[in-house]
Amino acid sequence: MKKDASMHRLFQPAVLLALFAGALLSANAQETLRGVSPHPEAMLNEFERSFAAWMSEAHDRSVKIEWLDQGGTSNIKRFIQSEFQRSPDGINVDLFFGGGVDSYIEFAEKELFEPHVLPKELLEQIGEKIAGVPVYDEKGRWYGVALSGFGMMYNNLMVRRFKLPTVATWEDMTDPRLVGRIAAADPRNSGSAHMVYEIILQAYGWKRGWQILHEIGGNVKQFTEGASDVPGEVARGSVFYGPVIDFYAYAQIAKAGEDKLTYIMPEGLSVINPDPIAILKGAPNMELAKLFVEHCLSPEGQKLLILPKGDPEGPRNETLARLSVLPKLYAETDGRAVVKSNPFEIQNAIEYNPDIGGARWTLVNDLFGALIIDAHKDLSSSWKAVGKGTQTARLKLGEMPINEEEAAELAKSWNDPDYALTRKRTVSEWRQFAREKYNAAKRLNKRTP
Amino acid sequence: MKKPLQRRRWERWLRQRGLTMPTLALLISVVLFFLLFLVYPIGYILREAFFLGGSLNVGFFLLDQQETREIVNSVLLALATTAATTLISLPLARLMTRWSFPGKSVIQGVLLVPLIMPPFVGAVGVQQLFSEFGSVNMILIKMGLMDWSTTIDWFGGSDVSKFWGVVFLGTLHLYPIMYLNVAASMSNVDPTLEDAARNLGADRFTLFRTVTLPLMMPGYFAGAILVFIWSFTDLGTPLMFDYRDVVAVRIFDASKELATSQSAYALVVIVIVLTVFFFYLAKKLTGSKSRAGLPRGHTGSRERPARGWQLPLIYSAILGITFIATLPHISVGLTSAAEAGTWSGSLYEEIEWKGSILPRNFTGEHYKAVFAADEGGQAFQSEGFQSVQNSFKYSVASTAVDLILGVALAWLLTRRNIPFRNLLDATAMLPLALPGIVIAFGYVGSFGVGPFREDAIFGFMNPRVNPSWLLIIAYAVRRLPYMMRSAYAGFEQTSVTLEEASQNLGASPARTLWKITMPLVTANLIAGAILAFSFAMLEVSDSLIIAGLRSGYDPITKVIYRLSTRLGDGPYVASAMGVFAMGLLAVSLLVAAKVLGKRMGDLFRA
Repeated sequence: MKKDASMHRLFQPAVLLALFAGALLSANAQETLRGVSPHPEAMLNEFERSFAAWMSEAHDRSVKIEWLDQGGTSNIKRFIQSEFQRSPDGINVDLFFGGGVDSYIEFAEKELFEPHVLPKELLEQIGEKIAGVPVYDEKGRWYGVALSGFGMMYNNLMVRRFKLPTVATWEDMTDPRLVGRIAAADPRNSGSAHMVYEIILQAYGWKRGWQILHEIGGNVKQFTEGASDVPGEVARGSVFYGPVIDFYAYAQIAKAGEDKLTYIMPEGLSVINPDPIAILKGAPNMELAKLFVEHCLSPEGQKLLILPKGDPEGPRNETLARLSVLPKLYAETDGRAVVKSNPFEIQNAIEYNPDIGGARWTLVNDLFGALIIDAHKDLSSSWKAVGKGTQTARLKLGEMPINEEEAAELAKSWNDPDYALTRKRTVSEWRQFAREKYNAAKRLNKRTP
Repeated sequence: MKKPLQRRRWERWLRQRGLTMPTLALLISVVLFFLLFLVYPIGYILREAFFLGGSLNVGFFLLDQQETREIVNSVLLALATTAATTLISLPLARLMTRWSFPGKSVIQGVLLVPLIMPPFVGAVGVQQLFSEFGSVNMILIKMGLMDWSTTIDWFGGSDVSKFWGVVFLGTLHLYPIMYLNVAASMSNVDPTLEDAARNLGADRFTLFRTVTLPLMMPGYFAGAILVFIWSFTDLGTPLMFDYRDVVAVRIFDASKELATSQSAYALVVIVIVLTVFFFYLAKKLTGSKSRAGLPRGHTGSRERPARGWQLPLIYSAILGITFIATLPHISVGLTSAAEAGTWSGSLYEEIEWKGSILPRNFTGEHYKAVFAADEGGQAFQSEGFQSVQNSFKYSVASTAVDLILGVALAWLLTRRNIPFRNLLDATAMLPLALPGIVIAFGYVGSFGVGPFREDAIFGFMNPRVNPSWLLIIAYAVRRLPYMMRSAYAGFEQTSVTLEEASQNLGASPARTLWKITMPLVTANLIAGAILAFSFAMLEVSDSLIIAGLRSGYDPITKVIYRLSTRLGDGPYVASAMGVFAMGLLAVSLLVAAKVLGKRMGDLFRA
């Protein structure tokens, strides 16, 4: 009997442990969708809440969505590709939501998406093209859920305090007086940062575009990891200017007030881009994922984007201030919407070519990373000398190791796993090239006063 | 005829070594654990580093400039942090071992305070304090030492200032570890040797240089290597400072492309080789046994009461250090309670502050944001609250694993004559030299393939299915050396004769362990367990890497990291979360200190 008691005492912890393990394992009775997204939590939460409410009302099903945290768009892209390499038939994730149209075009071509053609009455409502870019894939592999504009933001108070100029075009950001006053994000992590740089390249052309990027880079105080850090830094006043995606700016302005922060779309050079959603190949909850996509594009889902918090049909916790892809919604919600102008009527955007952008996505990131971020110390010290100096020295600073055609050629094999080692060496050469040209520019400037 | 003979030989071998079947079973399960959770992931990393894509390829070991720079930066970071902690700890240890003064025991405790928070949490607050328009600059402007046009972003902006930011926080966090080691080795120096030197005419400096310093070197290196490796592979602080050119951040980024990036594996292998090398170097330096054999005198005898002018000097030195060391904690506290925009660093206000060195308006909003669930119903649970629950679950479980494994190992090593004893000992200590990023990286890679694929037999271990298991194991494995050491020390201090007596009276080995040995080593075990627990509560690198593959499983640190980058109120809410975590940790360490008393320091020594 005594022995039993001691055995019992020995087993107690074991039983507790087993119970505990059971509790960890026990599955939730709800159906769960799983997605990856660079969207801010607020947006994901609103869409999840609205979807869950709709599912329980219309279908009497209890659903929830799990959003994996994998960082910015570029990180998410790497994650998705790596996971498909590991497990080609499906990666146990249903959705890829948000992050710029280029990535979606690229992944659709790599056949990583599951096509889903929307019901006709829903599809007809969606605008077909925005600034030359299709809003959805004709084969149904991806659909733009919102539209994003890319522009600049600055801190009024600080600009006034330090008697600095305001900015209206991308070129204004190259003013040498702004040195150390700009924050920008690393395109190797952030998709929206990439978009801004790609826009500048397409708007001004390869050569002039890179010149501008180098000069802005020379003014940059710090490259942040994510694009969402930029508006935060501008609002904090640790920098005064930054290239940003419109809704990040709006979110920050909503907190700080319109008199303190300003967002502008550069005249004639802004881009409005669809921000899509897609169902990943081998999605474990295919049927539910399709319903979610439909819900996002339905008028109920779309109203979450443009209506303010507090509107009965609007978001519950936070105003999202995004552009809807349903052109008619702007007129329908007139007076209630936070977003006033219908982007489908705006004429000042450039014609953006997503095929070019998509094909050279990683290449441009690697170029920007190697030339401007990794060699940033040399760039900014050179820029401080060259910024107010001669044109030749400035051109030397913005010199490129490859031209646009060579870039297009390189981009073809750039993401190939077999090409990885060459790619690594090439990037390394670019860094070397960058440091040398920055020093050369400095010397050039000294020689010709 | 043959079989029984073999059997008998086998039994004789067991008996010779004093092993019974249950002991053997225990040994085998411990070995299996190590095979699965140490050997397999590291083997996987090695294989992928050389063979990702099928064929042998060593090209990725030729580091490019960027990778070299990252490694150099990490080494520099570690060197600077080690040097800075030394500078603080040496005089401090000297003060504390040579003088006695009122309130000394309280101060002993206060000095350990910085250990309770990973510096990564402090980074949020320190950035506010030292930002271009932060409190520090405001004070300087007020004092007329600085002008609006010459403000400095102390720890932000350029890579150099970010570097020093990381060093600053690392130092403030780690100096207690250094201090404990240095103080212990100082007080272990035989006073008779010093007396002899004084008698032979050495002045104080010569005495310190030629006698005390050489004698305390082994202890110093033991502390230095812990600080060094810690800061060499720290992920959280550089991430918070956005100082990305270090090897830990590179590995963190690479953990998202495990199946496609061979260079990441190569880099991890290089980190492993480097840490092992540094450890070897430190062991070499500590292991010089030439003077170890000398007898030790009574250690307390050196302490002299401080008198007159010495007292205020001692107090101000110690309080000064403590104040600076608690700056991050203070600033996190302030940030957590400051109304957004009413404190320096946030320019929502007009530029002419009325001296906002401290926040002007306080609020409880941020705490509410941590713990209040979103409105909108059952589907939503507050992230902050959930993460506290998660961390609590993981920590309890990993502590349990540590306790079981630690006791089993210590018992096998001290009480049983097992084969390959040293190998087992070394394997259990291996996690000391294995940075969290390496373990996490190996786990995420190796537990996603083969039998661990989502749909395969052991799919439940896959962090893409449920990261809980690997988080628990990762926390446990990394703290196992400490736990084993506490248990080991307990067993060593307990005489075997008591156990022999128990067994002579007819108790089984298991019963003896339970009834006699365990109660005698309880204090050691509790202390080790509490430390394992608090470590797990605020562990950073495993948490960030492993938990990212599912949501709803995030531990506290992961949520702090995510919050800190959220637009608007992010840093404030992250700070509130940090304050809560600090509180949790402070309580558990206080309990540990109560149980352990003076031996608290033993646990931070290598």
